Amino acid sequence: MLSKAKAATVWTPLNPSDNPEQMESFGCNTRMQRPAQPEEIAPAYLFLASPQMSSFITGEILPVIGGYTDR
Amino acid sequence: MPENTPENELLIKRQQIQEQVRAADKARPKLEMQGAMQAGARPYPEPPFSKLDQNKPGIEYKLSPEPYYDAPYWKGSGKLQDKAAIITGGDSGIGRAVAILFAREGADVAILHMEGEEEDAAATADAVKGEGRNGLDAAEPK
Repeated sequence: MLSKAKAATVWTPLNPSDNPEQMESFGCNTRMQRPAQPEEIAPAYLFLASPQMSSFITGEILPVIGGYTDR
Repeated sequence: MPENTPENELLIKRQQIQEQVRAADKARPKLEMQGAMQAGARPYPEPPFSKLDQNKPGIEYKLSPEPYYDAPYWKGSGKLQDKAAIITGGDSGIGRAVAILFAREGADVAILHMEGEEEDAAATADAVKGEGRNGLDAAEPK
């Protein structure tokens, strides 16, 4: 697998501690108005890792970011 | 004046419908997001959240609400049958969710983590074993 999943604003111990002051509104900057949960990100990695599902995909970045926004 | 053929009548009718749709679109108030979007297999937490009282890299069991990582609705179907995966930072967060999902899909999983994250790592390795696969956790030497 040489593709990668790009995740942003996920509810994990690491991610929110980037910016403790803005914790209250964490996830508001996504189109979905909430952070992702890890179990919502994991299937993207499975998809890219499984020979059954992505054998003709390589060098790709799969954005799992809750939609695009101009904010 | 165009001929009054069935084709022309159809065309005119189509244009009239299009006009109606355009007018209706204009009259409708703009959609505004009202709260978070919930399109998942189960509802997930929304902001506002309470203040964080830990620093990077953070410990998962201390995070509130605890992250949703176990995907109870997910049924494995051998998508990674008998593969072996190494997941760095697999003790918590995205790594933990990936470790469990990979195991459910039939993979043995080794996770690497930093020192001080043993508790999270052990919980993840146990969850991997709970899926009936081999789970191994090891701290990266400093």
